[in-house]
Amino acid sequence: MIFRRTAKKFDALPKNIARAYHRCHISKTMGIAVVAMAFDETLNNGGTAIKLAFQRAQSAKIAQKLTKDKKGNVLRKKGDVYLVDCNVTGSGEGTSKGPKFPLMAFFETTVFPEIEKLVKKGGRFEGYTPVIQGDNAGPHNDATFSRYVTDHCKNVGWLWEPQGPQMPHSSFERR
Amino acid sequence: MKVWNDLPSSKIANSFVLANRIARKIEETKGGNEFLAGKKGGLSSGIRRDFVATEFGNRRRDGAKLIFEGPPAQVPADAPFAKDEDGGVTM
Repeated sequence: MIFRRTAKKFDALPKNIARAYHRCHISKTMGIAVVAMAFDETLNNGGTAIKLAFQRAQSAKIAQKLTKDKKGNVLRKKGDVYLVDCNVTGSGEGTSKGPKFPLMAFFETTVFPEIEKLVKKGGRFEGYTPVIQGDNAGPHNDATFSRYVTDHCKNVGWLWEPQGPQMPHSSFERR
Repeated sequence: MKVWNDLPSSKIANSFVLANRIARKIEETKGGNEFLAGKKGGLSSGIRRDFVATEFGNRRRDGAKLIFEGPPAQVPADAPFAKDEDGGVTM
């Protein structure tokens, strides 16, 4: 992993130094972390933090040809399915050659079911009202994604309260 | 994954409280950022002074239980929640 010189870094990660002709030769890796906090009345009472999901932005790709490494070992055969890091989009899945990581599928298959598990009858936080607060980055403004999440939240009685863009400090104070 | 697994829950809980307190500061300055300047300025909001870490999050150091003061949550009218006699939302 190569860090930008000015980036904040977690101490547990080793720092590697590598040379690259151009930054486009450094593959980009993105991850999505979803956390929650359960509290009563106000956040100033403290509460319970929950790690909901952590996902690397990857999608499947089908190998078009046999690929070997420098030593001649076969990395993948033609037709093999392998995961590649890709860009995050709102709902677009990209193409077979250039797949994307759609947020909509991530919310549908991971985030919403995880929240549901917590607040459903018999769940750890039964009766709590989830307030979902996306960071309103570009992919969150995708019309299809936006419509899907607002409709879903309305149907199940949750609140969808996205932050203002570029305002990670804005928050909510109700459950 | 190691970072994610090693991240203490108290850090997440503290960040939620911090975000809330910073939002309050912005509200007090009517949308400005003056709170960042001055002798006592900055993003620091005394979270570690007010809270102690617990296994699953954080709790107030003084043990006080604060009541939410503000407008009620804007829950959709057709939300599947139980409503009390006054029409308020039971949570």
